[in-house]
Amino acid sequence: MITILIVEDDKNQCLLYRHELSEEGYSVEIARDGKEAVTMSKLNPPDLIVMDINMPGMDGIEAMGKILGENNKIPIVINTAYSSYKDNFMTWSADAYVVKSSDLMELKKTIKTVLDKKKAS
Amino acid sequence: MKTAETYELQRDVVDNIHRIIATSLDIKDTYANIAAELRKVIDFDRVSISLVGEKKDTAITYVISTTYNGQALREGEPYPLKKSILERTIATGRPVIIEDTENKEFSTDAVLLQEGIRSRLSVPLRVKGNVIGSINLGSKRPNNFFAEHVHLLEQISPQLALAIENTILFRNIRKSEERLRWERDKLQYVVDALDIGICLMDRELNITWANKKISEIWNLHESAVGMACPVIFHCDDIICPARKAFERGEGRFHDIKVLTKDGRRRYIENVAIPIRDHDGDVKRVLLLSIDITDREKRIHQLSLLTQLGDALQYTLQLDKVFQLVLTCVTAGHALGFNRALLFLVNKEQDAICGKMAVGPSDPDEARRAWQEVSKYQTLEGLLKHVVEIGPLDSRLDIKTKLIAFSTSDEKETVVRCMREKIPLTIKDAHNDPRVTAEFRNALGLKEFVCVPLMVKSEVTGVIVADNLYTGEPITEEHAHILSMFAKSAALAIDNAETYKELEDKIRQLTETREKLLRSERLAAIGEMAAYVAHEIRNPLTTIGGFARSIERLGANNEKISTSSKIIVQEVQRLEKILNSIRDFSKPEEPQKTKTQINKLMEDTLELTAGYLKEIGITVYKELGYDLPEVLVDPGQMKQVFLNLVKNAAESMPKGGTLNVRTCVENGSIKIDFADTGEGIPTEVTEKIFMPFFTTKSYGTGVGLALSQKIVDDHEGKLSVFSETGRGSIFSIRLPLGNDERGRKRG
Repeated sequence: MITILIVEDDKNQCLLYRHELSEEGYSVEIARDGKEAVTMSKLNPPDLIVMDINMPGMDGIEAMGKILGENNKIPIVINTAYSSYKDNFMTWSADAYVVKSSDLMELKKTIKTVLDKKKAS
Repeated sequence: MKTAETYELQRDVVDNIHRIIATSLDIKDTYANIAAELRKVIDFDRVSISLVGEKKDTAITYVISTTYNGQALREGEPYPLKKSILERTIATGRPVIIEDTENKEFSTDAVLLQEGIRSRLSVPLRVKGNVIGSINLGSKRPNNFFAEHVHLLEQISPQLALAIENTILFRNIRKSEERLRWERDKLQYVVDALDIGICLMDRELNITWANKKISEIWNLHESAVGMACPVIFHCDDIICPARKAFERGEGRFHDIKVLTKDGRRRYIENVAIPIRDHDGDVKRVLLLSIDITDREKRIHQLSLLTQLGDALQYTLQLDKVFQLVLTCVTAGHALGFNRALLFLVNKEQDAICGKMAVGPSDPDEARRAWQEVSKYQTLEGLLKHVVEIGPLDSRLDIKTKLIAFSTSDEKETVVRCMREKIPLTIKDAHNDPRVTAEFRNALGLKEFVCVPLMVKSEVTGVIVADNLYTGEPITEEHAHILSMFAKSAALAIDNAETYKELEDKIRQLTETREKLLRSERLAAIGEMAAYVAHEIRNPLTTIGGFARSIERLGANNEKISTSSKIIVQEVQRLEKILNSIRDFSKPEEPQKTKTQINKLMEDTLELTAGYLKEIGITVYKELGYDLPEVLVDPGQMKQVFLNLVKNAAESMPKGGTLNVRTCVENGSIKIDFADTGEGIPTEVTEKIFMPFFTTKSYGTGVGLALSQKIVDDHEGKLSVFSETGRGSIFSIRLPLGNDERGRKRG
């Protein structure tokens, strides 16, 4: 089963993602901030990480740097309310950048594409 | 012894004398006849008549027969009454007989004695009991006169006295008449010599007497006598000074009239003075018409500078100042030139250029202009009028604007005047080497004056003035006043120029400041919007996400499915708004490439064609064929075009016409979007470019603000002109690049 780590500080959003992505047949893990994400991906590396950026404590960009420093094989999809982080070159190391939307179609499509690409390589 | 024959004779003589007296008008003419008759009955050598002189202490004697030697006593000349025989006659009223003059009883006895007269008889001549003189006889023999002679003379004396009195009266009347005639003539001489029109009028305001001057002043071809006052002076009842004079009965009543004579304005003051007759009634009014043009001229000259100063206080617009200055040169009496032209020095181009001209272009226009000007009684009124109507694009003005000289071209009069810094009066433009044929012919100059405009000893321009239409010679006085006036005018023009520069600077500053404010406001709003957008987006994502789940789960429960669908739709709408805010809060730097605006426009219209057709909007295109490519961000600019098309469409929900135009204008590309929609009320046009301002229930209020921001980023300008009920025009101006402008000019 494919495991997806959702890094998101908003409790309700986590619930939504778990609900929607489970329905797609993924196993969903949740990290509530960057630090937790770093720890969790080290202990049990997921197949893909969906990373929010604005979070208390360690933010998504920093966490992404740390995670990729340990294991650059894990694909990361940035999922944020801001489109402005596209300008931040740190986000360029992510595999995709999806602006948050209530319509999760785009996110789901991106996850699938990224996973397909990973499988192919 | 008195015989019957003697008596008969005496009666005949008396009758004859009575007849002579009765038939003559001037008794003096008949003295000789009277003497001849008397001699028939009385023997005497001398007869005379003495009369009391005009001065009561003198006497005058008229000798009828033999004369005096003319030395001691002259005939017809007064001599002292005192001690004369007449004095006695008057005193007593009785005849006096002197038996022998050797006794020298009276002063005249000595005189008569010298002539050989020894005895005298004097009989008083009485009129109404007063002795007015005496009739006197003289004889070379002593003791020659007796009572019978007295008796005879007393028979004729009353009638003689009366005749003499009549003669005196008649003479006095004649004398009075003569004096009167002289007085009248004298008055006429004086009145005709006066430079004042004088007339008398009766209660019906008909002129009963007038001098010549009045006809001259009022342009009458005949005497004013018999004319009615209103016909000549054209005044209305209220201000008529003559009427006032009749009504009030005393004092002086003034009124000033303006009339045009030989193309010049004249000021005439009318003064009405009531005249009382002996009964104290005012039956006549004396009216004086005084040409006070010269006086007014002086006053005008003095007040000209003040008035110009006043006029300039309420205008600092350069064009108006030019016009005021030139109007002062041509208007009224102070300067009163037919035409005035202004040339100003352009330092950057080392040239002196025609700026404006005031004055008629041909004699026809001159006549019309003078009629127009004569409507204004004061310079002040005229100047006000000038400010209100604005400049006149006359042929003279256009011709003047086409004239320009290099400041080194010294053979030109204007340049010479500028360089020498002194006024130049050209008497004969055709034969004066200081005038070029080109300049002379361009303006049809004959005699003209050129004065420099100086500010701090630097010449800033030149005024040229002439009297082409009246041909009035330009006097030294005119030139002098014009130079005086030029000093003030130069300062005024300099002030206005400085002001204009200042105004330009201020306008630039204001524009920059507004732009700065706009972008600052946008930045602040953007920052806040980004924050709010993020904070809202997260919960919105959750709400929308779960709503979709519910929608799917409750697919077979219609109520749940409908309700959740509504949530999904509304969340979508909110997210759309958030997206536009996001665009706005983070607009990207334009990525400029050479772009053909017409192509962008075509693309935009193609994109929106379906949408526009659906609402029933017809699109007309007028795309400039010579539009050069410009550096713009095509994506951003297309967004602006889309916004404006959408905006226009939304203003015409029931359909209409959209006109799009592109063209090159004043070094920039102009793009117009004109709709036939509702239009925008003025109070709203001021706000439509403010972010988040919207009049639409479905709008975000970002479209126009964002469009303006993009146009601003392109150094362009987005503006709107709107008329409520008729539609709006949104205009974009994009500057052509420097290279573009250079290419066009080259």
